Amino acid sequence: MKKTVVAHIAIMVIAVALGSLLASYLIDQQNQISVNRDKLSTAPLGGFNKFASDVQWMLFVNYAGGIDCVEKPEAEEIYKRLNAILANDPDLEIAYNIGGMMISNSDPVKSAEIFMRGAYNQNLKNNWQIPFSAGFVLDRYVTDKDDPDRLKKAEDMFRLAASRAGDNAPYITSALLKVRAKRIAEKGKWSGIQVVNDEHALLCAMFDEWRKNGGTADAAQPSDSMNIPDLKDRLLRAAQNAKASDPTNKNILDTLAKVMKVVSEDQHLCGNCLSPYAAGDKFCGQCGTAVVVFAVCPKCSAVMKGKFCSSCGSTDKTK
Amino acid sequence: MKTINEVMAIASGAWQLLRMRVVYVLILCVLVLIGTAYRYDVLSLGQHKALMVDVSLMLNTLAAILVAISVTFEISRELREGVASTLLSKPLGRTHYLIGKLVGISIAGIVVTGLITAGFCVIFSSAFDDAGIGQTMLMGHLLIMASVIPMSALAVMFSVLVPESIAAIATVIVIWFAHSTPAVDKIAVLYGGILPDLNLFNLKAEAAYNIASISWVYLALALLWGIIYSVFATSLASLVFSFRDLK
Amino acid sequence: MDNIIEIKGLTKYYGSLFWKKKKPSLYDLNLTIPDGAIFGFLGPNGAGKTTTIKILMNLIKQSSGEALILGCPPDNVEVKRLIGFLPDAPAFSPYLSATEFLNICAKLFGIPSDIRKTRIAEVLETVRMTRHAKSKLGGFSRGMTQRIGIAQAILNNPRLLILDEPLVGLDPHGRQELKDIILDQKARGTSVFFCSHILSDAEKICDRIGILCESRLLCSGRLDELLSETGSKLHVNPGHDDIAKDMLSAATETIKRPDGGWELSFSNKTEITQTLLAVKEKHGDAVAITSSRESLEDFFFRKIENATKPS
Repeated sequence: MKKTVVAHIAIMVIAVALGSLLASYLIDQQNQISVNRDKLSTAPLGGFNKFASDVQWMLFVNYAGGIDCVEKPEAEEIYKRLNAILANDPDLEIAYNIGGMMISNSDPVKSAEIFMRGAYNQNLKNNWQIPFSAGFVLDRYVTDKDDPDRLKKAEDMFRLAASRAGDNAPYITSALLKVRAKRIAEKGKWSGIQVVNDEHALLCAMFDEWRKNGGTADAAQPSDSMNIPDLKDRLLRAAQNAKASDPTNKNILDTLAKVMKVVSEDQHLCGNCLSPYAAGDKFCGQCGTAVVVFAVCPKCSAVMKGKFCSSCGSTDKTK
Repeated sequence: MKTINEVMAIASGAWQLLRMRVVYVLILCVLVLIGTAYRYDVLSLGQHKALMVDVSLMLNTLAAILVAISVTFEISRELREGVASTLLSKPLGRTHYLIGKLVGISIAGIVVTGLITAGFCVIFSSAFDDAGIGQTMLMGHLLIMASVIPMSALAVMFSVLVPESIAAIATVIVIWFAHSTPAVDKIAVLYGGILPDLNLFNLKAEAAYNIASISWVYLALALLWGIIYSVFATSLASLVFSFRDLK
Repeated sequence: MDNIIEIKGLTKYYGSLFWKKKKPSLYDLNLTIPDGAIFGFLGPNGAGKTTTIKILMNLIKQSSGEALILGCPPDNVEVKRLIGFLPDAPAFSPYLSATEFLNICAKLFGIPSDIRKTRIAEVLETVRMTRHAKSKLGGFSRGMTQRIGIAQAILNNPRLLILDEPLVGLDPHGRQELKDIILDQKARGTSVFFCSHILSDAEKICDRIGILCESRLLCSGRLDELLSETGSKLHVNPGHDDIAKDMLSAATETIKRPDGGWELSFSNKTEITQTLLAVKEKHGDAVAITSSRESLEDFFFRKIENATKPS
């Protein structure tokens, strides 16, 4: 009998040791698989957190369908319900989208908080709508009084949305550039130059993006940059708008000089309106200002299309 | 070989549960409930696909728990009525009797949960033409099938350790809390060793969205943990049972 | 092996929790049963018969003492291949059929699969349950369950058959069949150890008995030896009252029959036997002398009464 007892105890000790080791390894593995485990409610739901969330979600939909407008008390209730739902299922994408949007007017701070929570959820890392909505609410509805960092956060959110959306949503990049411009305008200075108006700020913002992209839209992307395929065109338009907003302002002209030196190195732009002109043009097609002629044959003044003049065969080019 | 024959003889008595018509009626009800989730598209604002997966996982877990606790009634009844005495008067050790019950009920549980899983796959594929059965979804169900083993071991343990009247309740409570443990599962020495961590088999949220990927290695290791824990629980039960006077 | 069961100083206490007073269910039992015997273990309810059997079958643990069954301690699993056991009030899984249950038992006994089916059919036939072979055990009456219990006990052609109240629940026909089965088993060389309340049946089939009362063994031995010690009876025909009156003072028990005759019992002493023989010689057909072998029932009650009499 004693032998049996010892054998049983030995088996139990070995099983406990092995079980603990294996469980500890599996918990680590599970934490990697289930990235939101630490965000889950600790209420003893028997592992049925997701189902609890499903039920709460359907009750929420039922509740939301019954309210006429969302005022402060409704927003409170919605926020409370959303918290309960998301505590049991942090991956319920629709809850962030619909819930956050429902309270964006009456309680933008909480709305932004909900959206941002969703934006940083690793399991929703392919979703661009949530960070975009977060940025939108932070930019448009949240005030500086509510959150002095709102623009910084909004920029981060738009940047996150843009990085997830790829080329599919150009308005995300517009929103990002605008909010970046707002931040520059708020600061009032950019690279030692006084920022004078919104157009000027937008130009600065775009040039910052240009620099982040390594100088070209096609260059390898640094980690905090994003792919804006038509950035060069946008930059030119922004430069034109900035100049048009105050053609004689020294700060704008200084900025333009800085920008054009880098961006339009290989382009021929009108000195007045910054519009590009073609080889052989003597005047700007947009504003009529005389421009420096390039790529014409020094002998016959025909436009050079290749190494040799197609009219006289000369090889000398005029720059 | 002799030992395996003895264990399987007792197991064959335990999986007679599968011959009860009520089991299949319950499986049918479960499948109907899973199918019903399809109708919740409006109320869930289009979340009915994940809902169907989640409902199937939840009902499969409940079925596994029900099958596991049925062994507490079975063993308690056999001890009370003297069926166990009749069997133990044969060349059968008490440990073998408990292992036989564990094996039998685990097989019954795996068959029941397997049928529910298969039914779910058919329903899901028919309901959502565009969506196949994702690996994570399938793994979610396979993990539940694997969890039948430690749950049955707990049921066997409690049917021996505690009085008959509270064996089933104690089993359900422990299974419930063993699934609700993310807050305390960091105490690794005890956790998963003495205290069961059935949450290792719970990746329902990931399975419902078919996100992340649960590897076959994870499934195999979770199954191994279940077997190791069952060894612990059955040894403890067997130790206590070896001193127990039978009716 | 001379003795199939050897029990030395076997004691079992219940109520082992320390605040409860321990109560013996079996106290210092010493018993030896030779191979090939049919041993009847008799005693009133609560005497400790079932406790003894359960200890022998390792279903409960003794508090002290030693028991050997077929030369092995009861916790030896292998020895059970040679034992058939019918528990008191047998119960089986209700959702199994008789054949399925016996099949499980056969597997546990290690009966090879090729002869399993035949053997099951044989035992079912022996207990007259062939036509219920496919029926679920849950629907069986007490008597039918008892028959299946007997079937599973003899399934392995045991060397020792232990039967706890085997006659309970059986109708007179069934009791006769069971007695035949027991005698048949004995003829095959099986030793039988059984306890019963039905003393008349026990008397018919046992060749050894033991009587247990209040957790203690009162006596044990060969039945004919135990019952022979009682004495003689003198039957006096009606109209011979004077003969009876002469013998009254020596009789241990006197009964005047309704027909006017007398029945006088005498203890088994040599001088009484000689006196009785003298009376018979003198009065011829007016008297008859019979050996008064006490019935088992009388013997049992006498023993029990003596044991429970306040000292």
